[in-house]
Amino acid sequence: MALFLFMGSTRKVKSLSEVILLSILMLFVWTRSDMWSRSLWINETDTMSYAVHGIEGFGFGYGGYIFSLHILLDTFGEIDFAFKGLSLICSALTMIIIYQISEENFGYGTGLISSFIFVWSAYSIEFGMQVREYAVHSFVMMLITMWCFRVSRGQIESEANLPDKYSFMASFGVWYVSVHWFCMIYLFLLFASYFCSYIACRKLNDSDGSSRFPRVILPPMITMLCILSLQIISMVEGIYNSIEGEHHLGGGSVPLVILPPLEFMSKISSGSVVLSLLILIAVFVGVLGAFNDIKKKTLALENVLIITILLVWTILCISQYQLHGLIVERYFYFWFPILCVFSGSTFSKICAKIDAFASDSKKKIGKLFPYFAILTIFISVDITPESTYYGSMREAFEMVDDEVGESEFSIISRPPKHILDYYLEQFELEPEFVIGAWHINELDKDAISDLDSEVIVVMALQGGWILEESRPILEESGYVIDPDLFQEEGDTVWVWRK
Amino acid sequence: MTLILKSRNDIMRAWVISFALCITFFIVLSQLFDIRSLPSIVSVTLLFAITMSDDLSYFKMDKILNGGKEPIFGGLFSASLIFEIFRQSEGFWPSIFWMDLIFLFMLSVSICFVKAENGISWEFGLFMVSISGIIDSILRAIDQYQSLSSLGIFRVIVWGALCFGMIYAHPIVREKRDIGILVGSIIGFISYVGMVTGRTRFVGESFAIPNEILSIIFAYVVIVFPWLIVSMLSKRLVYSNNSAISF
Repeated sequence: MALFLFMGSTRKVKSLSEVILLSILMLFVWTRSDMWSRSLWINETDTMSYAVHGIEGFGFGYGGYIFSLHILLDTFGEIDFAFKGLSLICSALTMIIIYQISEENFGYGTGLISSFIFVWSAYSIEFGMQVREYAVHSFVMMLITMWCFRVSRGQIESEANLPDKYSFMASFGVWYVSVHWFCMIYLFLLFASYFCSYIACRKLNDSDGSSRFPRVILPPMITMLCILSLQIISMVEGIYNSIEGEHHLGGGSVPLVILPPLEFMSKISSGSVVLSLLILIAVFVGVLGAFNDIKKKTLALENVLIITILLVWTILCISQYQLHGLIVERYFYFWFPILCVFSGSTFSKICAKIDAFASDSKKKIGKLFPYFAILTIFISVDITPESTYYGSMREAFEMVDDEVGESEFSIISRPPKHILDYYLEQFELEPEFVIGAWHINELDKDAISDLDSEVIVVMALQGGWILEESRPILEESGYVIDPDLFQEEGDTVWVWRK
Repeated sequence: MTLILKSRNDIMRAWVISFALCITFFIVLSQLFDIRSLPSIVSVTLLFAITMSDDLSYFKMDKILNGGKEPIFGGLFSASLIFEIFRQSEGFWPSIFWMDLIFLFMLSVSICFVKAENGISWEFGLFMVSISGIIDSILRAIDQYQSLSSLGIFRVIVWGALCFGMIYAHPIVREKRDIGILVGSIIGFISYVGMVTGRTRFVGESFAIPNEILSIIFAYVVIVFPWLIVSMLSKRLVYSNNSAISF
């Protein structure tokens, strides 16, 4: 209810009912998606291992999200839906914030379209429920964005221009998301946009310099700069590793993953030409709006912010040809909620144009325009997310559980042990040894030759070199491969017996 | 703060009663709970409450109150010192923190006396010490060396409450609140680090500062400190100019 603070009562009731309907639709559609019911994949169990052990590194190593997962893990144990549920709830809250930002800044009716774009999108369904930072961090960053919009419109004014509890909470939000570099880039661009719009307005309108910079926004800005300055060295190191062909955290070679700009666009718009056009128009209108603003001696925050989206999209498109392992469609997700806001605003601008030209009797048609927009998006968007390359880790462990029974067993795997721990705990499996590695050069072959368990399980999750490396050693030790193997969506499990 | 000093007997009575109460309190707490930092948490909270309260009649303890606040602090500190020496002689650590805290108290009060002509009072010193005590004892309570070793929701609530408590703190030294919290927090962190690494202890080994505590300290520093610094600077401008501030 606090989100609807700045609305009139009639509008509030209508908005509330729209939000409730959208939330029900979202929960209904999203929980029927394959992304909800499928098992966690290796990146997600990697995150879960951080929730148990923490991340190495000074200070910001334990991110707020890791703390949250740790609490959930403590409370519920290894239950997939507890962690996916957190992401789903945060996505639903993000949808509400999208609605609110749109209504407050772009006029009545925009919120419904913007939030519907978010709900009815394969892109948000794919990333909005993963046990990764995407959903939770997006929610926190959208809260900060909404707060920035309110400050920029003068809706929040603290006593004597002093930092208030909201700026404290914004600082907390900045810290919460600080573990992800792309979130820091988002926040940097958000605050930079705010600062640019303030400076431009002040230069254009306020030559005597009497306007006051809202000090409420300074604490989160300082927090962001402090964290960014500490991370900058590791960021540069990560870029260097990526250019050299390694994973950005180092450790071995990774393939160059290229998503051509048009495919990238298609991914964001869930294959919808209508939505692609809408996004392009929104960006075009925003850039044009920035030029118009300068002529009118103002500069709205939204018009600077939309330029930063264009900037990030372009940089991601270009840099992926040089940086190994940079998977652009994932990291752009942090900008997706605000892109939904801007896409919805395009409709509102079209509605305003129709209203301006239409006679009074035809103005009713303009009011129906949002519903026409929703219908168009509903028809044109394919909401089935691309889920095949996430693997089926839970099913792989079900097979292991069935195969090993009461026998003593060991595991040889790609990836390393900490990725497997989550499902080992869930299935209460206790292998004698787990020998795992991300890269061939990290595999301990001597340890494999020392194995003496009744059953050896070889697991290749999202990568198939492990069998080729371990096969000769296991054959030499007298193990025979079971002809029945588990194979599904990039995950393969072989069982060897003595 | 109004000080009510009636007679030497009142002062002595206040001191003895506080001393006896605190000693009993620590012994009972340490017997009842396995959490070694619990006495320090409770006593620091008590100290903080006494420092913050304008009117001691809230406690309804006339015999103590007649002596004023100073004997109560004296009784509390003395009891803590004796208890700490006893615990450390038994090899316990990290127990309560008063050894380092008393030193810090003396240091801060001395500084305040030196700067008394600038309007800095001994209450401000006490406020700083209370803040440092709270920070120090809470860190000790939630680190992995205590029985609350799993980083569960309790720790997050405690630390979250502390962070938010700091921005809502309205002490008697209100105009200097921000600098008191800032300096007190730094002293608290130093005190904790000294205790864990063994630099301010008589007994026990040296331990590493846990990563999660480093992370908590880091979070506190980057969230609370910028807020306090901006607030402090803004207030200074507001109070000194009492006019519109241009950035």
